[in-house]
Amino acid sequence: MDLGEARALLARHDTFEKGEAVVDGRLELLSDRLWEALLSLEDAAELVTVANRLDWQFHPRGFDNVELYERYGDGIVPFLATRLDDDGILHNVPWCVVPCLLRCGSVEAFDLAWRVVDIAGRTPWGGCGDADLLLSWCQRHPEVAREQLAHKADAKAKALLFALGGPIDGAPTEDAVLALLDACAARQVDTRVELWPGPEVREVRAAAFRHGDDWGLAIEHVRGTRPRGLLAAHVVTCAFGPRVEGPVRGATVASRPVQDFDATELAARVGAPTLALPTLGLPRDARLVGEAVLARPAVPSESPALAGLVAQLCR
Amino acid sequence: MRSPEELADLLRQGGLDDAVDTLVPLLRPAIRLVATAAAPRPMCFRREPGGEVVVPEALEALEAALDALPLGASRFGGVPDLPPGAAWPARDGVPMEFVAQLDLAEAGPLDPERRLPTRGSLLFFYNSQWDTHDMVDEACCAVLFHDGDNATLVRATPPQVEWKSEYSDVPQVAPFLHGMATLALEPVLAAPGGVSPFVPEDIADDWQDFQAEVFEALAGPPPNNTLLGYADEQDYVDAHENGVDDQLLLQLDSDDAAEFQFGDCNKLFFLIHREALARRDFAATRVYSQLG
Repeated sequence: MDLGEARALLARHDTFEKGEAVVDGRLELLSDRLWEALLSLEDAAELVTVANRLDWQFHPRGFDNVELYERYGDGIVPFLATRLDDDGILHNVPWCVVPCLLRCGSVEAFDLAWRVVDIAGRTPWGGCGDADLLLSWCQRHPEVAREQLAHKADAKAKALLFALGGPIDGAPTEDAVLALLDACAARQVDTRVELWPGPEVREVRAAAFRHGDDWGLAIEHVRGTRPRGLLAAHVVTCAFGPRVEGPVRGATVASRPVQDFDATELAARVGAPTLALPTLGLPRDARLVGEAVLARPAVPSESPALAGLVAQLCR
Repeated sequence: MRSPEELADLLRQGGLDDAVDTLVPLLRPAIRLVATAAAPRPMCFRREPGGEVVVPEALEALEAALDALPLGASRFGGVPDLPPGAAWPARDGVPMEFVAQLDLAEAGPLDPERRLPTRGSLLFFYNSQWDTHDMVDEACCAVLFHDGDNATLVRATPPQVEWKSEYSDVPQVAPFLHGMATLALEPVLAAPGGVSPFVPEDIADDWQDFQAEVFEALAGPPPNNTLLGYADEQDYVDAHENGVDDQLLLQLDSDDAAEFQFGDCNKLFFLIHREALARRDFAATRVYSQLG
């Protein structure tokens, strides 16, 4: 569509809707015409102006439509940013918003992805599926992500940096261990397994081991109410360390029968800390450097008790 | 199908007289698995917010039914009798679903071509958490071979791992446990599916129409659970990636006896290269949940 026609068409509409349009005597979808016009503007700045003015009530064709990005590049980010509300919800209307944001690799795009708490209007295909948008963005643009994350000192940034390939081998450091835990607790790892106790868990037992430079940290809780039988209560072990083999680097989850169902103390119900050694991939002579029963931390690095145990582990 | 003559008659009745000499020799020995319900599934298919996943009465029934069966007995569902030292198979940390175990001392001798071992057991797991309609990514199934006495098997206590399904915001518990069914094994003859690498191209179209028309006469009444033989559905996805060198190991139907429901009333097809089968490399087994 030539520029003049595109501008004229868009000037006549305030709403992007499915509608109907007659073109050369043929009936077409109005949305197809408007979309074509949006792709025919002078530059990204004009697109942003027009797109911001439109009331978006329909979508272009294709869940994974990235035509806006292909036509205008990262210049579309200001438009994408208008889809983010004050609560951090990114409204994926039109449904090209998320796919396009994932394509944009600029610092501005990172800043937008960083502010997204959740997505309204995920689509069955395209975008990041049901995965975390920020993690998905960082995985696609790791160089920009690393640089930007390095400027941010909070737990979320550290966890993401770890998820992008932080160190795990060698002697443990408090930052690295806590970043691993934070990444797992915030589900900033690429797995469907729950690598941190859920919010319904009140109390966990943490046990830390060293074996030379190798280390292991087990976070355990009891799940279930049946004393015996096929689906008896069991101990869930979230295991972390360089020798842990699991769905992601350095972390897994496993379960085993409860040691003493009738015991009142969590430590007795879970049993000796050494029961976690096989899951941690450590030998039987690994040294227990500390253990603690604590309230489940939502953000591991913000728990003084857990941070203290990790400090012991890294000494 | 009980005899080559039966197929020959069917072909002639269908006007495929010219194809009799080509198609009848394709019949292969197979073993039909007839399931009888023993216990319902003990858990809900999906956990809802705040909801309990276990159905207590069904769990008790399953435990009682398991107690009544010897280790290694052929059956669908429930929990497996694992080879000593074997872990419950998992993918990416999520335990797979156990679907079947077969006592090879019972099944092996029923195959005149001796394609199976005649002692020990085979255990079948699959991974419903990821798509199994094709095999573009990692393994979607596990088949364990126990080459020993049944007495050494260990009745498994299922792990319980929470994982996030793409279809639910509530963490689900894996592995999902199916209902349990005991099995009777019957030797039969199997014919290829409607679209199959085993059927010569020049009669493929005729065979496809014919097979669809007389499906039940060929495959027997549903549910169609079969060991060896052929996949009885039409292979539109090139599941037989090794052509005629692939052998159907096990076909499992969505069978009410074990409360199996694979996709939307689909079947599971466990395929293995015949050379891998000959060397008992059951780790090479692949699974498909749809062929079309």
